[in-house]
Amino acid sequence: MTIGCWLRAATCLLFMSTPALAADPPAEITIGALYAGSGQLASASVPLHAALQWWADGVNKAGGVFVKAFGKKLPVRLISYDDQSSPSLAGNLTNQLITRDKVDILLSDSTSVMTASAVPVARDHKQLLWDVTGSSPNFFSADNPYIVLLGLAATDRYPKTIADFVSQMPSLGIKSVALLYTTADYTAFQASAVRKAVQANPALKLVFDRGVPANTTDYTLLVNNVAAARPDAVLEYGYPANEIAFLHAMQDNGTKFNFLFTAYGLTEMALMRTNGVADQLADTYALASPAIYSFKVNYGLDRAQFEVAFEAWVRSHKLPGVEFGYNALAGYQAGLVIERALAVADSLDQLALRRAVFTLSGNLRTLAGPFLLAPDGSQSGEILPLGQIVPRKASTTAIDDTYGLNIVWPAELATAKPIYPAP
Amino acid sequence: MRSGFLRDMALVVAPLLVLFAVLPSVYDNGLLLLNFVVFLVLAQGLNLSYGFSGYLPFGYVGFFGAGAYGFAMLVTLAAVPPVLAVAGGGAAALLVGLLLAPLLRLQGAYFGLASLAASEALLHLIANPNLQDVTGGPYGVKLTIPYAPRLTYGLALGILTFTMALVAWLRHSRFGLQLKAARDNPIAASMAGIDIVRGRLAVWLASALVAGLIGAVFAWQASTFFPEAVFDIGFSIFAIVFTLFGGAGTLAGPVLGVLLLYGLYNAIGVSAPQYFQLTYGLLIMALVLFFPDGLAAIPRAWARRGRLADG
Amino acid sequence: MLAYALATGIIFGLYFALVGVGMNLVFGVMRIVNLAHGDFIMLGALGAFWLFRGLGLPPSAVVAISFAVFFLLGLPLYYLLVPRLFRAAEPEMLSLILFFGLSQVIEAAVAMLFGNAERSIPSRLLGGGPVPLLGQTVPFAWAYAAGISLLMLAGVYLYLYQSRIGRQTRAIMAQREEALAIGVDIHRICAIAFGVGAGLAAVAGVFAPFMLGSFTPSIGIPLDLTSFAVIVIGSLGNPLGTLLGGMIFGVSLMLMRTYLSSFADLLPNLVLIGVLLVRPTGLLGRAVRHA
Repeated sequence: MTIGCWLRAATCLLFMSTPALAADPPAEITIGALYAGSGQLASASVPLHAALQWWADGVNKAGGVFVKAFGKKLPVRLISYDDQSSPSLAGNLTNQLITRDKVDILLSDSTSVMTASAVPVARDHKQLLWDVTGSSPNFFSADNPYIVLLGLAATDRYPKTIADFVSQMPSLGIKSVALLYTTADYTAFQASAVRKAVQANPALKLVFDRGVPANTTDYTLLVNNVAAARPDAVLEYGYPANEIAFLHAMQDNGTKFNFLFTAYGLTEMALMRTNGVADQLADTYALASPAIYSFKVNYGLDRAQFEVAFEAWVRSHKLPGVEFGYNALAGYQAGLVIERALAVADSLDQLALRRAVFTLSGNLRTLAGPFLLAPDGSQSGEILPLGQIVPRKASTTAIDDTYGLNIVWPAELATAKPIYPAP
Repeated sequence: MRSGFLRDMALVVAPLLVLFAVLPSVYDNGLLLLNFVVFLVLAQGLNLSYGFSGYLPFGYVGFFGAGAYGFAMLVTLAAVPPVLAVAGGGAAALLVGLLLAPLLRLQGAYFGLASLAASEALLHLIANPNLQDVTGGPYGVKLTIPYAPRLTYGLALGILTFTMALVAWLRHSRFGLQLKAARDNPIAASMAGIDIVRGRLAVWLASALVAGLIGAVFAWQASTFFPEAVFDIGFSIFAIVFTLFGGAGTLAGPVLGVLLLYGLYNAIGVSAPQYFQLTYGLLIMALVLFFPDGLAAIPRAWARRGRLADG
Repeated sequence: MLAYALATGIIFGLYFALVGVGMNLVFGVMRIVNLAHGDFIMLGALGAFWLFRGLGLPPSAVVAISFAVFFLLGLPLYYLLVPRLFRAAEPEMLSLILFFGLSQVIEAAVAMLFGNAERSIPSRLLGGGPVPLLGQTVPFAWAYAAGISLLMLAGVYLYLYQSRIGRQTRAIMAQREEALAIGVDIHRICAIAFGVGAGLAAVAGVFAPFMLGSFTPSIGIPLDLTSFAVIVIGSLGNPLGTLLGGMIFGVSLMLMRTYLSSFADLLPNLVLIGVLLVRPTGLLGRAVRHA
């Protein structure tokens, strides 16, 4: 056995992959997607990918998606790879989707960390990256036309509602504010917007301002330290695992705050419920994520219809641990934008697809809210209102059997005044 | 010594380089090829340290990340030309290697775990929001230099050549042989009177340098990345698995380890994504259980069996 | 605030000692690095999730059942994996690869069967309300976990120092070849140690949802990193040094979290390096040099 022999055997493995696709007219529209089937990002990524599969299933059952470029309906085929939460593997696989599978539409994995490895690859191959939730401002620049953000507003625009609301705090009687956040891209950015707003207001005092590593999961000491600072209002930014731990710590110690804002409270409510901390969210505030707040739609299912349809599909496919929440909704949103774009694109050329997506801007309203693109491809439409979770009444938007939602900010959308201090 | 070195270069390094120089023209997933070269360098870099001095740094990725950030900071803060900044990335890793040199007093798993703690500490330092103006903190790095896949690939091949030449030289030089003797039998070597301490420091720093250089190339290619992407402990784990399984201390072993195991890894990822992690985990377990002495031992075992059959 | 941080540091330190002690026992006896240790803890958490929420068992029963089940699972796993390792030239290093593979398999299997979403267990299932401590409170689950951790560590002490099997185990730890020479049944003793290690991991897992807020299939590697730090500070292969290592780790983590929280991950790593530079084999290590 010579070395050359080994080399040949090993490199053969590289070529075992995937057939090339027929060019024109295609038998199907291929959509490439990555998901994290394992690792730290799996709990966010798996529901999103499940919703994409649900969407593709539904489209194909209805005879496919209408493609204007060919004047007929074509079935879609989802080609998905598991990137195991590894950014370097995600780079390989993105390249695989572009160069070997030659997909028509390239989706990134959820979260900014994973999207980062797809951005330069897509740009280099002049392939449009349909960015599902990777909202870091680092990805968008005027000289890169090969990216478009489908869901979430870009991280730098997201905190606008709450920063504006901060200026209203003194009129409620709030004088001191505590800020607790995880030091990850998405959460730290929002916290810094809040910090600026608090510091700009002479009537408010920032009495606690702490970043904690994103892998922090025991919050008891932190909750105690926040309580010791005696703030009138507490704003907490973390990922779902952090928030579950934060709410557990409050529950275990019987801590209550007069005003509590959480980043994910309304985003993954089902997850909070299965983790037994949903009751802790009573009287707290959160951005009214599309997972709770029903936007008026002019295309696709609305929130409630989607929740019912998706949960039924999840049950029939026996997907463990997949729940309806913002991530699932973002997967469906990607499908909706793809549908609309294919219906207006003149060809499957990548820049033609980009132009098609841009024609939707300002015209498309889905369950994720109004679809509004900035010229650099980032999303600016979905500025979410601030809501307070209250006991369910006729006047509130229902969250579940027990809780309802009051929209308290911005003023033009508000359905009620904030109840402060929390009862 | 000379002839052994030249033989290694001709039989292992040259064919490998030709292979990786030709592959981009017949296979178009260029990024996968680059990542192959990245892991080849990391495996051989680890081989420099473990194969010749017995130190197995679990935190080897720390040098890789230091190189990536050294490169990124030179390019973004000091506007250093990228090719020069790659060298700067190597220098950054070298500096970290020097700082960690006192760890060489430790042994075995203590050393491995201390280096792991060091790489974690470096990650948490770089990703800290207080250092946002310097490192980008949790918001990551965005490079504005031109993306140059051909150039980065060429640089990576250059770094691979340099690394493998170092390994080949150590395998046949007096210095390397003495180090290896000291690794396998410390008492005998100390009686031979060679300066083990300085020798170990030298291979440690060389090992840090090459990881930093390839980390810089990786950063250039990635262009937008977050701290956890270049300090991903997966790099350490894979480099260790590939090197040990291929055979540390040899030149061809780590190469075979990378080509086989990283090749299978990507092949499984593409052909059976839904069972990716499970299949790869089972594969690794099976390989260890059935070939406990690694790939390098298989030809030997076959040769033995052949002799038995003949006799 | 300082006193409270110190006190919670000690409570957490006790728990971290329990997290690390199983891995350390296995390393001390078999000289193998069990990278699947964190996944055993995760499996323990999953088992507890089911026992608490599904069957509604009381906590003491959950602890006892978890330990027993994982001890019994550990025995065949030992015979399946470890003896083959020792036929290799470098079992210590090879164990890294083997158990990395096992860790991947466990994580993948759990994700496939039970999904990736966060899971947690309401603390009220442990009973008891907030426990007052230095003018503030800690969750009852913390106090309970710290108590069980102490009990388990005491059990490890009794097992190693007060039983016949323990004497043989320590003989293997000190000198494997000599132990073999004086007729110790190495595989039997090692299998028991491996089983105990797995059982201890499972008990640590029972409290993981309470101490860590929630768990997912991917918490294995982070728990391995914590275990490494705890056992290296205290000394590899010295299960009782783990207690000291856990305390130091826990206190430094909680102090950082109180005073400089964004650097909370930095200090334990620096402490580890600092300790090793002063004492190259950990705080309770014997001064043995092989080179």
